[in-house]
Amino acid sequence: MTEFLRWIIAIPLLAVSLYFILTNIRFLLENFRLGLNAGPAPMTIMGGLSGCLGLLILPYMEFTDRLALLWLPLILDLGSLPFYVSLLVLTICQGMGVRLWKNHPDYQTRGNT
Amino acid sequence: MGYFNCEYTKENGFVPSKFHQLLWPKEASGNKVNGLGETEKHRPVQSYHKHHPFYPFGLAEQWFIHKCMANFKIANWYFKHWITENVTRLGKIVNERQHDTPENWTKKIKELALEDDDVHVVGICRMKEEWVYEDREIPRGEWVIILGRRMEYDEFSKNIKGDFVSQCREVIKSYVMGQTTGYRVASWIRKQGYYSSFKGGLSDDHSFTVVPAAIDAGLGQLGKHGNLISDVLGSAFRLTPVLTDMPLITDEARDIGVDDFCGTCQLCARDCPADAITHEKHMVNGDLKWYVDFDKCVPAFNELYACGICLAVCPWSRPGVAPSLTQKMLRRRERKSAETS
Repeated sequence: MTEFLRWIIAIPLLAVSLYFILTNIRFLLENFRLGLNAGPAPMTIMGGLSGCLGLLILPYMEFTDRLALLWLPLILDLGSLPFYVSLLVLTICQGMGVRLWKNHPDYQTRGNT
Repeated sequence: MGYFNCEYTKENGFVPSKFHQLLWPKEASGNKVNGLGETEKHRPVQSYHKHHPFYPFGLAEQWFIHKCMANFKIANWYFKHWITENVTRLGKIVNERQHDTPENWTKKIKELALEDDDVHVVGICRMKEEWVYEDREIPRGEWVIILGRRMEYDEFSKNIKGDFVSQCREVIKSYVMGQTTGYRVASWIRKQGYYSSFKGGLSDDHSFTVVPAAIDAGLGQLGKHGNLISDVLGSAFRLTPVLTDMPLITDEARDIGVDDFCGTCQLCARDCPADAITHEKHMVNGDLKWYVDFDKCVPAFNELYACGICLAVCPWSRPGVAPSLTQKMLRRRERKSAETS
C-alpha cells in the first residue's frame, strides 16, 4: 500500500518536473528568437525541486542510487541550477565592474538631445 | 541599512540595500533608453521588465522578482498569472466568420468585458507603429481593446503605512483578474472568426507600450506620477490589452483636466521615497510630458515590492473621487477661459 501511494505521489511530481524542463527549454529558444528582448520568463526552481522530490519518493531503485540522481532534474531544468549559476556569475561580474553588455541601449545616448 | 534590506523612513527617505547597489549597473541609465531629453521621435526601446537577467538591469529585476516570489501572498497570484499565460490556450479561430456592424461588435465586446465586474473600464483604439518596441515586429491586429481594472483602495493604500506586500499583492491580483477577462474576450472574438491575442499586464512579451494606447482609447491622461489617471477609476487601476482584427469603433483620447490638477498638486512628488518625481514636464522621445526618473524610481520599486506610494497618495485614487474631480477641473477650466475671453 505504501509503495502504491509513493508511486501515486512520485509520478505527478516527476511529470511536473518534466513539464517545466520542457517549457523552460521552449522559452529559452523563444527568447533567442526574439533576440533576448522580453521573451517568456522561465519558471524558476519548480522543475528542479519537484523532480528531486519525485525521485526521493519514487519506490524504485535503492535510496542511495536515487540520491545520486538528484543532480539530474536540477541540471536539466534551465530554471534551476543553470539559471542560478548564471545569476551568480553575472553578480560577480557586476561586482567587479565588468560591463557585459556595453553596447546595450541602456549604456547609450540615443537620438538628438 | 543592511546588506539585503533597504532603509526607508518618511523622514530620511529611501536608501537601497548594499546588495541592490551591487546589482545596479554603473553608467547604465534607463532614462537614456526612454529618450529623456530627446527631441526627435523614435519607436520605444524596452528598458525594464524583460523577465530575464541578461541585460544591464536584469539582475536588479531578478532581485525584485525573487523578493516577491519569496512571499506566498504575492507568489500565489503570480503563479496564477503564469498558468493563464502559459498553460491555458486561446481556442482556434473559427473558419466561418460572423458578420455584424462595427457598432454592434463594439457594443457586444464592451458588454462582455464588463459583465463579470473583473474589469471596470474598456476603451478601443487603433494600433500605432510608434508604440511598438523598436526591435519588435508590428503585432497582428489593427484594433487594441484596453481593459482597465480598479484596485481595491483599502488594500492598495496599505503601502502608505509601510505594508508594501499587500500593495504588491493587490497589483498582481488586479493584473490576474484583468487577464482572466482578457482571455474571455479574446476567446469570444476567435469564436466569431476573427483574429485576437492578448497578454496579461504582467506578461513577459508585450510588443508595445500599453499606456499610450490606453490614452488613445480614451481611458485617461498621463499624470505627474507617470501613470494613467482615469476619470472613472483615478490612478489605482491596471491595464490589459487585447489585439484583434475584428472591425470596431474606436474611442477618442480625452482631456479630463489632469494637466491642470497635476500642475499644482505636489503630493506624489513630495511622498515619493526615491525623489523620482519632478514638478515639471520633460522632453521625452519627442514629446513634452510628465516623466518619472527611471534611475531613481526603479531601485525603490525593486526594494519596496513595487512601491506604488505615488498612486496611493494621489487624490484621484480615493474611491469615488475621480468623477467629481474631473467635473471640477473641467468646470474650473471653462470658468477660466470665460474670464480670459
